[in-house]
Amino acid sequence: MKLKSLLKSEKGFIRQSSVILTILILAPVISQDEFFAVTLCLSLVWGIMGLGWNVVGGYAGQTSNGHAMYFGIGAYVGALGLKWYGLSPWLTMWIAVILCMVVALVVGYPLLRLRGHYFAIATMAIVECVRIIFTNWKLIGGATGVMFYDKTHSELYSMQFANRISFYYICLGFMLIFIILSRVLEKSKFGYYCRAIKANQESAESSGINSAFYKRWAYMISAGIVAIGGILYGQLFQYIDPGSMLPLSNSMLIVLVVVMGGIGTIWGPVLGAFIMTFINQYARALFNQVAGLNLFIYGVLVVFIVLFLPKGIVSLFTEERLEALRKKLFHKKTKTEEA
Amino acid sequence: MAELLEIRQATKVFGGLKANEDISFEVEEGTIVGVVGPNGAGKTTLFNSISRAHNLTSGQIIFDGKDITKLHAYQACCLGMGRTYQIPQALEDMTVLDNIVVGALLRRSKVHEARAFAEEISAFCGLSEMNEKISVSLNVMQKKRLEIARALAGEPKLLLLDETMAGLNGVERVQAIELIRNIKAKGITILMIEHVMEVIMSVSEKVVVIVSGKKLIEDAPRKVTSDPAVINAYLGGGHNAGC
Amino acid sequence: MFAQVLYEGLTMGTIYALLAMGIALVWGVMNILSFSQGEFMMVAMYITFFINKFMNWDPLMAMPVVIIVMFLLGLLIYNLIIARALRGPILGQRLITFALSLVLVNGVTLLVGGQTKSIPHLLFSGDMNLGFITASKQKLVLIITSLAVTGLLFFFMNWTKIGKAIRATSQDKEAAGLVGINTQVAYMVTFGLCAAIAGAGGCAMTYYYYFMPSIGTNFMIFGFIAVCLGGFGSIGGAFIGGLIMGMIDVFTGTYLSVAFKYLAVSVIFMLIVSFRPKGLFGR
Repeated sequence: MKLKSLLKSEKGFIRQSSVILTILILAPVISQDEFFAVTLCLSLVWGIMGLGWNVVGGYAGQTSNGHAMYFGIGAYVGALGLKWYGLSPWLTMWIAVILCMVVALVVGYPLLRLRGHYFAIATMAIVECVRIIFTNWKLIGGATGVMFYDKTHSELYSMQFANRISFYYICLGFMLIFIILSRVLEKSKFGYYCRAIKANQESAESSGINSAFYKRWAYMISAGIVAIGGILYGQLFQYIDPGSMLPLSNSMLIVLVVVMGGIGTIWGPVLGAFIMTFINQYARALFNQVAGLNLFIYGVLVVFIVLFLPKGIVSLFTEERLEALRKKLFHKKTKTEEA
Repeated sequence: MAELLEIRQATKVFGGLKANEDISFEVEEGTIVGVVGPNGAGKTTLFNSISRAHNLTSGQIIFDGKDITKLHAYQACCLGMGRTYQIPQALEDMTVLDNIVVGALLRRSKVHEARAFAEEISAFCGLSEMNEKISVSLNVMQKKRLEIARALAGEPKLLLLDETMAGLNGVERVQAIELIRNIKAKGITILMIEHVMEVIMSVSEKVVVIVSGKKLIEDAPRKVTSDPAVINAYLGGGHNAGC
Repeated sequence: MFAQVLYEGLTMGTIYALLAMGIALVWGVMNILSFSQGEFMMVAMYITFFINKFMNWDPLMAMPVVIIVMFLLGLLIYNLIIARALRGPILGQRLITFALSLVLVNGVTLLVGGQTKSIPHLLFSGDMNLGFITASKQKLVLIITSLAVTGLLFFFMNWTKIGKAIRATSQDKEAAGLVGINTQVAYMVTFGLCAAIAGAGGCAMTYYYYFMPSIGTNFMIFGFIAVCLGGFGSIGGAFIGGLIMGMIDVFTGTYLSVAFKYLAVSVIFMLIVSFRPKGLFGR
């Protein structure tokens, strides 16, 4: 009975997700190309990180510019666990999530007291610290990074697949989990409180909301989700180094993915991630003699989106437009049936 | 009747400026108490101290038998203190109903229960038609009502109203007075800052007059308005100095 | 040794100070965290480089031209992009300056390539032996330029009409508008001014630095932290914050290790924002 009413109230969401998931499930059919498959996987990884950032940045309004830290820590835990101890990423991901949440708890205490630009700058400074520490930490590979291609275990155990499509479906599974998690958070007391804090912290406090507590939890959950993104990224390329995991641009790209797609929405981060990754990958592949073109195009695109679509690309798909589209499709179907 | 709120020698200093000095008074359960005074007298500062938006420099605040002098704002709210702001602070990106749901979630952790209660409160405050509007689009009176609704949704024992009447026209004022009477009828104690004397006169049992950060007098409304010291303070002391 | 390190720190500090003043100005006046300030410096370096290459002007001679060009570029960017972004949410404003920095870095890379460049012949070069230190003349040019720019900026903000208008706008935009200040013009000039400061800084930096399109990004975080140290919006604070950052940078780099540089800076930053949220010199 309860389930039934839940399904009823979530009808719109379930309809949306089933359409999008069907598209995502069928996406690998488009091309057998290895590069295309990698791009798909990467899109999902960025989508997961976007969903993670969205919890603290989109819902609770604490726009961290340092989420590459959890991306990096997650990837390193997965990589070193497999390389040193032969632990499966299926196991180490729990360690990574817990570790990242603990780190988020500790740094969150001083960080989340800061507001606005100060918070942004402090998060950037901390991730820069982590990058420097990792770069100089010989034990974990220093600047050269970690190579952890694994031949001794089964593909499923090491999460390193010769066939990228299998990996794609694993990523898709994770993304589905985080989509549902986002939806649950959004509709819960936690979600309401986070949005209240985002809208007006003083007002939220005077409505009985312990803003420090909720901000901290939002930050921790967000760190945990991004850690999973890090692990998946590591397993996809089997090579990580501080220079490609922890630069400022990664932290900013996580934010850009969300803002481009639509901040504070569920499908925004996913859509943003696909667009960003495809532009990045294909601009790099098609014009590989022209260095920097991918990011140039991307930068221009972001400028246009922020100026002309401040609520992100998902704001193009309004309820009315979707309804009109549905009617159109439905109408055609009935016509063909009649014929 | 028991005292719900007791303020003991409240003093608040900003830099070198004494915004509140040695203010003491009590609010009895089930009554409406008005706080009046000229602009800049320190009424809102006092409110902020009571609702724990900032700390007192010295003094004590006792609410419902507990010393809340050192608590956070959200803790005071959990104990049953709701407040509104002089300049309405709605949760602007959220709908009217969601604003009230945020308040209601304080006592009801299930969202659908909070939603049902919020709808009740919304109707009580006359906001039902606007439930799905984004709160930024409301006018000032509606925003003030929304603030009251959000505070009421937390089922407070004491409601602090900061200039609810300012900027309202005659009809709106009558409606607002009616709302305040209805809130009192629910058994909620009200402490209100007000500029409009007519309003205070018609609803409150007791009036506290604050002038230049100090309590001038505390008495029944009728007596306060005829007090020469109060008249002097409101008229700026000009006719005295002129003599 | 100590005096030598102090001199290096001063050089580094003046770079951060120039960067920080630009950031502080934009932050204070229009409340935007400008990620593109470092890139403006980089663009200025390339303009200087090409003036030097084709017209054989020394960077010091080219400086007025670079400053004017950068000022105009700033006005252009403000009118095309920033003015629109100011109507949107604050995160959008921050991201747009980041996107702008992506466009500038990669645009320059597309145009001239990513190789390192430097200016071959300089008017002043070599070292001066002052007894207790050997001061490189190139660095001295940098220090003097920075001091001159700071002085001019102070003069501009305190004694000119438009400077006063900018300060009024930064304190209260609406009130400034009410007393007849055209706040749009104030914003526009502020942004142009920031680009012009970056122009002077970039131009002077070519005296001493090798550069490539990504050079601005490397300085960014230190620039931001310098602004926070000084207290946002205060130009004098940003200047001193920049000097402090330069000192920390060089001293920890010399006496401890380069790895500790960021750690030291971040710890100091966190301490300051925790205990003095308005910065060392903020009110």
